Amino acid sequence: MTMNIDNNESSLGIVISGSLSEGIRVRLTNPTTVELVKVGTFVSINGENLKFFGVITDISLGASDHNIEYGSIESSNTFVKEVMSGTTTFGEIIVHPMLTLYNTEDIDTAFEKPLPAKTIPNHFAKVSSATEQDIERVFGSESDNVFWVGHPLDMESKLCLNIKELVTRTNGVFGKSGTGKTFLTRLLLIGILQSDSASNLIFDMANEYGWRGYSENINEVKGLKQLFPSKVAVFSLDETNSKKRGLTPDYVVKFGLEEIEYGDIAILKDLLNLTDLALDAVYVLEHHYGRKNWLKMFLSLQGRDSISNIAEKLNFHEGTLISLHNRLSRIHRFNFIDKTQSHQSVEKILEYLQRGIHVVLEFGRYEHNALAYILVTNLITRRIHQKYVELTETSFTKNKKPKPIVITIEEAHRFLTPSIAPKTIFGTIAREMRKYNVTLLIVDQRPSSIDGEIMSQIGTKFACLLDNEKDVDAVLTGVHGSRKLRSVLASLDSKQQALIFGHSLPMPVVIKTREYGTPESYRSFGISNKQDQIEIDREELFGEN
Amino acid sequence: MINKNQEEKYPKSPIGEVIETSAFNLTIQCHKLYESPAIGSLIKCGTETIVYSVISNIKTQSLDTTRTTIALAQNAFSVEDVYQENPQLQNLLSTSLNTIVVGYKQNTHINHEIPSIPPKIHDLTYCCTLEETLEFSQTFGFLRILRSSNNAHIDDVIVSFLRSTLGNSKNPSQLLLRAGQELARLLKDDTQRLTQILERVSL
Ligand SMILES: Nc1ncnc2c1ncn2[C@@H]1O[C@H](COP(=O)(O)OP(=O)(O)OP(=O)(O)O)[C@@H](O)[C@H]1O
Ligand SMILES: [Mg+2]
Repeated sequence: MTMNIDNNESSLGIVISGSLSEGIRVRLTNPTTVELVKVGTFVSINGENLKFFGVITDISLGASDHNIEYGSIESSNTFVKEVMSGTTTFGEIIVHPMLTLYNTEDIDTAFEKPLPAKTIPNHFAKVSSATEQDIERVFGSESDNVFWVGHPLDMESKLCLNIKELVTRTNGVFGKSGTGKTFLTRLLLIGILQSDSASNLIFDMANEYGWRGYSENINEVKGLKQLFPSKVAVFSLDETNSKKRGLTPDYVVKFGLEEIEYGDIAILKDLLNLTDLALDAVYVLEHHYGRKNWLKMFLSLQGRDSISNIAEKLNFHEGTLISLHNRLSRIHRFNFIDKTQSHQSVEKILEYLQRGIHVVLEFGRYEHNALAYILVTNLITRRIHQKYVELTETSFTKNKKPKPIVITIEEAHRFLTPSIAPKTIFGTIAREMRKYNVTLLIVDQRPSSIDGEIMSQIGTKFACLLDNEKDVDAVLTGVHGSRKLRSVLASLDSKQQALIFGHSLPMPVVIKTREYGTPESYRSFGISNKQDQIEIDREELFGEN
Repeated sequence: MINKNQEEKYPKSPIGEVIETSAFNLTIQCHKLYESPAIGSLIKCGTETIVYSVISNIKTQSLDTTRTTIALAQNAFSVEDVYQENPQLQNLLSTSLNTIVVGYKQNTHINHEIPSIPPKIHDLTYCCTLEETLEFSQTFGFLRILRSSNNAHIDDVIVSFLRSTLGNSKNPSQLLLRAGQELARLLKDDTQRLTQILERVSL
């Protein structure tokens, strides 16, 4: 049986020269296409024995006569221009071959997975824009563990991601402000939710994932809880704010002072403007009063005298402790910190996650409070990780691994700057990969501020437009052939486009991110749970409650 | 007078005959003084193998090369008067054409190549009709032969050919574009020359 691999391809041009390292030069057959081809487009090259898949990384103009380049030929005559274009003057593209497969008519091998390109096509090989079959061949088609995230540049075909593969590593969504990071992340979270390959814990700093997200175009989009009410729980740090926005949270999160440790303060060093000495004092205080009581005891000290007493006892300068006391009182003032009793918030979150319920933690009125965000995120993540290390270690004997968790953090550089990343839990998680079934989904607009070592551990990168050179470098370092992707990354649209590459994809690809926010887009998730669908229909009929 | 044959749609009578032959160039003597197609016209000769050539030069001179012509018109009203008053001129002068061989037709198949055997002396020569010219110009491979001829004025011949024949076709822009592209390929490293030809063709 034979199979025609090449039907409906739209031909672009032929190979005229090139190398594996510098890319293949392709002369466009139709000169008028120069203005139509785009950097980042997915193309196929039909070699003698191999079929290549690659990406357009550059576009240029060529001329057979140098006089044209010197500008000594000038003609305003349209006929002259018409004749010359495509003959004397022509368009060229550079294609970087990424994958190959045998160009065979045999159906048995026709379904083999493509392999990384280790060679290049012959002269005069035909280059075409990729077809829908090519896309499916390389990236897979929409099925169980494969999630449709968008469309390859200028194509109708669906581009799918293998979510199971994706969640085995820490991943990152990058891009400058307003490029669609949050929208793309929301889609990835839905992909994870629908594939059931992990439980999500989302630190929703700006209240946009759980309930009612904001959009520049249509003001409001649905949050995850609205689409998947039976699978998502919204935890809130600020019940009043959540209720004001029409949501009764599944759980109101509070922490007791005794839950805060040295490490939770250390990560706040810059925000609280603490000196090294002040941090040493925290360490000593923790020893002095005991891990559970130190903060409660220290903050309960009233007046200068009692603080100087302690300072003397512990051999610290009085001034150091007074200013430390002042600064730590800021924590004390958060409504979600309970001075009197302990709480089980982290246990509650863990319980939900273990049941396969995805947890969105809303910050309510603290939405732009970096101190609250970092304190809470670190506190919870540290303890969940701790728990997971225990669970994973005992799982060897019980033969039951804990449900994998993906922790989503926005503004990730706040946790991952080179100075703190090696010491924080986030650095640890990013480095140890999936060992303990916890991975991160990092969302950030300043990747250059993130520790380079962490960046190099990121499995799959979703890069929206970045215009700062340093940020572009940070995203591309450690990626094979990244130099070639620079031009692609720099020429993305300012919204709803991303270059995605890394562990879970066979080759880099530019996508237009799947639409999110319209009724059709919600329907396209094919919500299967009856109860969820009833909720959504009700909302659509009667408006949101 | 010179364009007479072009205006006739189906010239059945020959315009002249071959008097000098080679694989690349022919000389045709016209049967009637001055009755020649224009420079750049496609003509054909031969019976079994039809050989096509393009007129690159037209000459009229004394038949007896030892005798030069003398001036006769100093008192005449017009040049026609001179010919009427001196009917012997029709026998003393003759018009001849130089042509460049550009292809041949064998068993209805047209080739843009030099025929393996050149036409014979005295082969009758006909001017191609517009239809025949267009049939010959379905592709433009023959421009390669024209371009490589050593005629110093070949560009003018090419321009005349394209302007007159293709310009008169039903779909001139399509054909001219294709002809132009063929020229562009041939002259890919001499854009100056290409531009000059194209600009003149498109006038
Ligand atoms: N997939 C999408 N579907 C529909 N609209 C989108 C999509 N992606 C981006 N947009 C539009 O672009 C706007 C900005 O997107 P988003 O809020 O995700 O940006 P961001 O990168 O998270 O910005 P910031 O850094 O400020 O948080 C959205 O409000 C929405 O209007
Ligand atoms: Mg955002």
